[in-house]
Amino acid sequence: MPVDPDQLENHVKEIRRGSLILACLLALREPGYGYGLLEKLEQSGVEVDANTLYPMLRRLEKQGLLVSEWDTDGARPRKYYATSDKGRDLADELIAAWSSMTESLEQLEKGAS
Amino acid sequence: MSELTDRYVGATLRTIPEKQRDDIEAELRASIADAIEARYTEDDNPDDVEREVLTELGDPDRLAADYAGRPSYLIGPEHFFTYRRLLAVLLVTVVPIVAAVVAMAQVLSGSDIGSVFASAMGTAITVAVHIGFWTTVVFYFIERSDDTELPETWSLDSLPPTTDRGEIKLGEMIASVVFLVLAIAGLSLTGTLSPFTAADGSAVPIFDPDLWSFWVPYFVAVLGLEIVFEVVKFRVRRWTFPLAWVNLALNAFFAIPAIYLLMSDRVFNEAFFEELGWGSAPNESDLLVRIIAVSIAVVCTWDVFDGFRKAWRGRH
Repeated sequence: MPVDPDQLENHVKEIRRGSLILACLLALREPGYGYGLLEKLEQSGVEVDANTLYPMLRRLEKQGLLVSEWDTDGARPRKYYATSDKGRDLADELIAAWSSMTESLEQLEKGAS
Repeated sequence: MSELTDRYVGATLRTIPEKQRDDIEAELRASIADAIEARYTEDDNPDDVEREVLTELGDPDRLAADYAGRPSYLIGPEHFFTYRRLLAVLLVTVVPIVAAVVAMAQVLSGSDIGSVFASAMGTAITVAVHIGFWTTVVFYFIERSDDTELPETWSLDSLPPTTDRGEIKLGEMIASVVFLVLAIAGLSLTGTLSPFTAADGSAVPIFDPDLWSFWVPYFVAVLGLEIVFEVVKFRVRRWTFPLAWVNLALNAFFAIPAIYLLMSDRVFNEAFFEELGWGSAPNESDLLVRIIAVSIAVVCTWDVFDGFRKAWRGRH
């Protein structure tokens, strides 16, 4: 059976949504600003829409997982975000959860074949 | 920055709380400018690039809701089922009660059957719309208040018992059939059985003799169909939607002519009530006749409603 491309896209989106926070926390261990982070994520293969990412950065900041600072020295003022200590700890936990899930899925896949 | 970006940023900020506005504006403008700059090449028209970037950012109301952390739905999954249950309970209890009270009041104040029906229906619709609107408004605010804990409205105890899936028992069927047979017998016998006899020795029936040419056979036929219906319902074992619709038709066949005849004074035999010493037969302006008519309407409406309720509950 060929895979229905629309169906595939929906399910892939669903998986990405779950991993996006982790991707941000990891990428922002080096400080970055909105559009810069968007490009960095895309270069490493994480697809994300600008209108999803920008509000999310503020939410993560509000939760204390990111810290921010305005940089007014450049050509235009930019808000730089960086992962806080709390954010780093959470990222470690999430990575562990992610790996254990990958393991579980691999085991299920082996069992099925 | 062009006018288009100003308009986009303005539309986004409109619904953002005051104290976050400056910060979000500066960041959003920088992000838009960064995106335009990164996309722009010598061959491009700068306006086209700007349009493309803003189009990708999408509906500003949605972006603003995301920034402000507002839900972009009316009632979310956490409260939806509580909302639906409450709404259903209010609609099936309050609406019929209010409609019945209004109908009763109209009847007692001497309105004709048409305006009784019209004002009961009108009130029912108005009350239903109000219940729907205000319940939704309350849940809208509950959804948007930070931590309103609703009382738990579901537990294992609230599961319906399995017999409520509407299995129809033999006893129920027999009782209904016996009742219907007695009703047919009673109706037929009123033509020849009476405590009063006329001068020529024939009985004086309680119901108008004119009814015998058509309406008495008609009601006997309807009651006969009800017997068939009871047996079929028992064979099917449970209420289904087709059965509920047939039930509606049978109730209408009975109630509408019955109420019509009552309200046009064609039911009772004058002679019978003269013998009884009432002077004249009860007519449509008498409270007794009105109460009988309303009772028929209420009982039949309830029966129809009950059929659909059981069909709904027993659906698979």
